[in-house]
Amino acid sequence: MTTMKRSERIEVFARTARTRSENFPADTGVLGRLRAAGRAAFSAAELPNPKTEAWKYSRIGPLLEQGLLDRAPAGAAATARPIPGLDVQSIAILDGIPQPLPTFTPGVSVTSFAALSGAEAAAVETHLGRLAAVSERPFVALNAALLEDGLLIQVAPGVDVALPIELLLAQSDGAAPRGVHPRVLVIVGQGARATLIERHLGAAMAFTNSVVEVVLADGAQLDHLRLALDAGRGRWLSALDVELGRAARYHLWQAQLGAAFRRNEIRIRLAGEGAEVTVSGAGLTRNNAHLDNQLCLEHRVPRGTSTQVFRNIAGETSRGILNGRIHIHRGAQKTDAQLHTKSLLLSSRAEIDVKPELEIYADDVKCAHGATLGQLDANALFYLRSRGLDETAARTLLSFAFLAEVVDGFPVDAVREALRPALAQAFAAPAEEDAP
Amino acid sequence: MLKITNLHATVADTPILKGLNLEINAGEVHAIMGPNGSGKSTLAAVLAGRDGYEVTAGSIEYLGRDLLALAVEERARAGVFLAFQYPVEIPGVSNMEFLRASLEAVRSHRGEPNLSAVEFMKLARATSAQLQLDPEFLKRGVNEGFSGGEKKRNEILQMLLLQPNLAILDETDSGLDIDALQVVADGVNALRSPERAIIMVTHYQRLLDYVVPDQVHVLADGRILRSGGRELALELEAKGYGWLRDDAA
Repeated sequence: MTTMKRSERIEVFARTARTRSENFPADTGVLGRLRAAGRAAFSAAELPNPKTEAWKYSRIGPLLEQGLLDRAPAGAAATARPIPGLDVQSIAILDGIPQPLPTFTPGVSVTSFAALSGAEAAAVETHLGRLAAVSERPFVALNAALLEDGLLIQVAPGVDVALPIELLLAQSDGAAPRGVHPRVLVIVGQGARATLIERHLGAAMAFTNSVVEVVLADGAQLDHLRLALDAGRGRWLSALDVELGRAARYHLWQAQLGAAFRRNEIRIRLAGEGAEVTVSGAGLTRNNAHLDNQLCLEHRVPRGTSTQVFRNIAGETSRGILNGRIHIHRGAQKTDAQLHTKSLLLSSRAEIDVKPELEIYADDVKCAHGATLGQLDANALFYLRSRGLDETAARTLLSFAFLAEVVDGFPVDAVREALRPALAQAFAAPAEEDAP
Repeated sequence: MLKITNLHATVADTPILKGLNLEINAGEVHAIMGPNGSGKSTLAAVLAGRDGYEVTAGSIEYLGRDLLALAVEERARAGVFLAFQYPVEIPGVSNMEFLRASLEAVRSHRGEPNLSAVEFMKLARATSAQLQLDPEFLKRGVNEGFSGGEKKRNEILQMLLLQPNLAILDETDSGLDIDALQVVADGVNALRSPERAIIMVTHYQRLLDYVVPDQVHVLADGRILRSGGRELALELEAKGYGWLRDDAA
């Protein structure tokens, strides 16, 4: 596409981003202040280069292509793709722009940042950008600098929200390259409980640079499902920053396909005693797709537990990456932290990079990690084929079985049932010899 | 139905089968016996098309077709069934799902309509009951945590569902107690019909008390050393294999 050197491309990208950020009208509200902070931080930041450890396996090339900082043309139609049999209250951010909001069940409120007032404005002031700080990650700064608008999702204290909240981060099918920067702050009040189903939709040549911050008050619980099941040309960079109060529970389930670029930067902070985190991830990359999960579990206080389980499959020339960092701070005694990953390579040219990083400053903790990497069992393949299944069907069935341990644990029936055909379709996609 | 002519096969470049001839007609049950290392399981593997077994000479004709030209799954769809000596455990794939996928693949090849979920369940449950397998096994992972006897019965369950033209039982009797042997034998006998043929590969003649073969072949050093009727198996039982080899020499 371009013959510019990498350093030049980075320079052009950074300059374009700065110019774009300066075009926003002056604003002294929440949005304006976040943009200003983002702009300053982005200008001071250096974009990741091949020597940046956190980006060792994810080169930013696919994010630098022309047009990925352009605003989306207005008027794109939302592509409603409901999950069959799933009742939800749905929030859509299409091409970076929050769409008109429906009515929510009692205890749930959703407000765009532009429309904040009173107590909500105060809540946002307290938390926004605190977890996902602009100073630490250039793309989080970019999200703030180019923010059109964002959403505050609040669950009132003590409310048990039965109806799942669906959050759609969608790219329209439009042909024009574009970049969008969705921003969401979720606050689950004390003792409240909710289910959030976050879906990343779209396969167009577009850059989605999302930041989601989640604050769980004491005793709150959030079941957070994240589905990214559109492969294709999308560039998806997603920061997810979560903080748990005392005895809060956060359960994250991810089912993701690779795309031209997909990277999740997930940081979960156990900030109150006795908090509990589980993370379950199923990932599949085919052809030349890319899927990078960067996790950081921070145990800041005593008696926290975290369990992470991942299953990743890579076929053809695709690449899967998992960096699992567990940081147990001084004084976080009686922490129990576990990280288990299994990976499956379907091709000799596929690559999976798994790296646990343990940093432990307390002496009375349990911390375990395990990683295995393998291939499909030839005996099992033969067994299935000897019963009439063709090789593709046999491989698919065995690959499903590999992911089943994670996928079967998804807590929402309709989601679990929808995952099967979605993954089957991904497995059935033809193998491409070379990258488009 | 099956005509094997001068079959030579190697495993990792070591010759195992060295000129094997065998002809089986529809309606017949043949037992292939022989000492360890004689090539019995290699023959079963070559018939099913397992990787790593290279046919270096000879031919196998099945229902007028060149069997060796067919892929593993094509053989299965054409009605060849191998009951494994060591059935494979596949955690994460339910037995039910596996049986259904397999039956659909084979039936659709035969031009038969797929069974509805309800019809399939009924059939699977009835066949399980016939083999005294708890229907709960259908819900578990394929062979996952099954005892040796349960695995063998699961093989026969698959065989009865798929209704093959040619069934090859590779040491299906090994590791079975007498009750299980009876159940398995009943299953095999249920499959006997004028349209089908069955090959039983076995080390011991015990199974032949329950499934009476039309012919018995002794395989040694990669060739059929002797063929005969039921009485040959009894003779082997009495005298061992050494007698035959001395005889042949």
